[in-house]
Amino acid sequence: MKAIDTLQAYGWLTPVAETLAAVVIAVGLIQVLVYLVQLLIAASALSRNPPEKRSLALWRRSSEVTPPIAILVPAYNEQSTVVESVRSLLALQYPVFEVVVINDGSRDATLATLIDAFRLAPVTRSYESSVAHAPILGLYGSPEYPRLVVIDKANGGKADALNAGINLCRAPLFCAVDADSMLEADALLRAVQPFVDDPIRTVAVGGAVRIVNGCSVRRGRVVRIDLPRRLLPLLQTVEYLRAFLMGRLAWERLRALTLISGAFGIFRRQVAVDVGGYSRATVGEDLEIIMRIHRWMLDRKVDYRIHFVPEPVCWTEVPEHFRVLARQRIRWQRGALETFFRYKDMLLRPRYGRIGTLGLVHMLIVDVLGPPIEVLGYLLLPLFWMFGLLHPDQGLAYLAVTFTFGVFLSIATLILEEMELQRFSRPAHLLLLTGIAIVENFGYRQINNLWRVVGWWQFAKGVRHEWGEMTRSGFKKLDDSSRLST
Amino acid sequence: MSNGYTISLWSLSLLLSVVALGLMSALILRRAFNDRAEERREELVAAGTREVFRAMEGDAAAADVVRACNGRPIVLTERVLEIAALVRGPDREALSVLLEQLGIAAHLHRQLKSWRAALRRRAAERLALFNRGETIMALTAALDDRSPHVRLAAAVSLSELGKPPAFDRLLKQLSVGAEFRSATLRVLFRKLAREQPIPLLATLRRDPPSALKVLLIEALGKSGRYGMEEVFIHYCRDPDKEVRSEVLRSLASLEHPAILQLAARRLEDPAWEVRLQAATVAGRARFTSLIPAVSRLLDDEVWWVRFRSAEALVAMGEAGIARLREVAGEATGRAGEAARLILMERRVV
Repeated sequence: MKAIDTLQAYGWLTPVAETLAAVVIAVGLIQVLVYLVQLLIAASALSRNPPEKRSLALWRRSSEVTPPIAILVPAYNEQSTVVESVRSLLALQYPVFEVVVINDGSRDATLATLIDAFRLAPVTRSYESSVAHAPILGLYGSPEYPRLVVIDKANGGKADALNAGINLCRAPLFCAVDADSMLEADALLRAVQPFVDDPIRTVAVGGAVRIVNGCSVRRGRVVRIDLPRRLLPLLQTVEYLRAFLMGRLAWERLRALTLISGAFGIFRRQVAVDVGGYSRATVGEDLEIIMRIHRWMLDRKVDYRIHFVPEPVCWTEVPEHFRVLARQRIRWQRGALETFFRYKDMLLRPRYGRIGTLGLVHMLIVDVLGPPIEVLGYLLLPLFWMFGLLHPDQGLAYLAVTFTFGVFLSIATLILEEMELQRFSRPAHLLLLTGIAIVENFGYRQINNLWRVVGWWQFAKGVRHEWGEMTRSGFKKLDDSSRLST
Repeated sequence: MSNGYTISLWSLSLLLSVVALGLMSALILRRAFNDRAEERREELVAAGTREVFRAMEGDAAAADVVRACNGRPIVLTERVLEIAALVRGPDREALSVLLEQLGIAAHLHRQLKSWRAALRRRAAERLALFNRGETIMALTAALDDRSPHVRLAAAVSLSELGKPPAFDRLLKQLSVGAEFRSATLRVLFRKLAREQPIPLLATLRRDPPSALKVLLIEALGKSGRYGMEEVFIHYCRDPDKEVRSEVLRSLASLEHPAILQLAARRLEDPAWEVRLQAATVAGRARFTSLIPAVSRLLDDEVWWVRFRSAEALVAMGEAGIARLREVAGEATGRAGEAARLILMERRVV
């Protein structure tokens, strides 16, 4: 009581506290409104254009005219999973494609494993050095697997590896995937549809990424969808749904999509070459190349489109351990900031249309300003409330934007998924995810913001872009179709 | 911040959360119920499908299928349409009659009026199975749909049914060459060129916009019909490089005697895409008299032209390979590298 009296004696503290509270609440409210608009747009988009359930119909519609695709698979220390990944990629249902694996100077036996599994031998393949990358040490192929090419190169990072793949590939489109990504058999066929429907303007397409932790995998394919058993990947399940089903779809409809996931995206090769390939100077190369494409196209007043297709699914493993997840989120934040500040001169400039007004403004609020303001709110607002510097109603408003609106948005995303896609196999899954959607907002979201502030700090200090290690659990063997890493 | 405003935020967020929870709970219950219903549905589909196969062999009638599906033959829609996609000839015709009797055609007609463009498109594609007056009328009406993809799907189905609309009307309805550039247009045009090439040829003679010209030349070239080559040759100097490329491709596929001279001229075309096409054509047709001209492209400024020219020389057989070996041995720079690399890649060093 004495402390409260002391603080309240400093009359100027109250308006300061109230102003800070107002700022925190306003920023939170803006984010909530943005997410709400995204939700409505995504719901409208999905109900107007429900995905084609049967890929046979897509095959009949367009297989005669689908363009060839080169699947680029950068691999670094992936010896435990790369063979299964490549096998599943080679079995994709698509008319004409090749798989280009880029061994990016792995320190383990990734290359030897591939050579052994696919009976590879050195080959020659002429290519044009259109985009820069670290030296190529060798190329490998096999007459038994004519669709497979393996590039062995000096280590240079994921972006560098993708650039090598862009140079070597000959298809008009390339699909960048992670080495541990598992594409559904018809994922390419679905994701390529915008290139078929609008071949002149479409320059890139992103697909949905879902979490494979807990699922049953056989021969590189998800044969049974289950939920992770651990809390951390469960929380990410809801998070990914919100990001992909709601966020990406909505931005795509607004023609302000600024990100295609590095785990699964298809690009027109010539456009990637025109913009100089992936940047090796950032950890957010997937975000950065999209922004660069936007700038390049808008500067030249080219009529173009970047699409997101919610149904072609890429399954990916997410971190199950706190430290690995933290590293990932810190890296993502650094990547977002690197890209934002690189392209900040596009912000609010009419020449850059919706990218400058919607896309970058969204990044400013959510990625740049949001995390530090929210964290400041976590630290200060409860204190202000405790010491009577804040009106209780302001406290309630703060709780609303921090917790309860988030609960609504997370559950609403689940509703959308269940009404339009129904990917989760059992009602028990939906029940569990509903609980997770609530829990997510009490702790997980806040920790994420803390990590993002750490990312901010690292960015401000000029920390070098590094990927760090991802702890791989590996795929279980074929016969028992057992659960993936619980 | 006013009290009323802040209280409203809190109340609103609570209300929305509670409503969302309620809706989600209802969906979970619905799923629990539907999962059981879905198991039952799968059993009906399996039983119905067995009866469909028996009916196709003449051992069952539509009434048997309806009985097997518990009076709901619509559950079979997806399954039987997949079967229909795999059969041809009398089996397909028999299946089409059966599906009409089961009411699946009528179901698709209703879907053709859905507010969802994706469903209308799907229905338009599937109605290609039913060669009946009512279906033709429904598909013809769909040519005026507000979605260009639905219009295109209807046009493709009509052409599969042998009832394509008048070509000029079709061009207008599909806005071909203007706003609508779907690659699936090639599928439609190829079908039309096979069945009724004359209106396409007539349109081509009228010097249409370039995008339409490319579609027409490609479709007519792939049709394998002769008698239109002089129209193609007329466009071999078209200002649009895509048109010039397509002329080369189509004349090559028709194996027209003029292709040798045309390819020879186009090897020096200002557009690299046309030079590349000319080299490719020369290689496929094994025009060994063009070896010197194609060899010069090994030093082209554009990598793709160098690469395809090297490939073309390999395709020309021993004479082309011999020329590559000469260039690889004598030339330095781009030409030598292009020759060496293709010889190593193709293992004909």
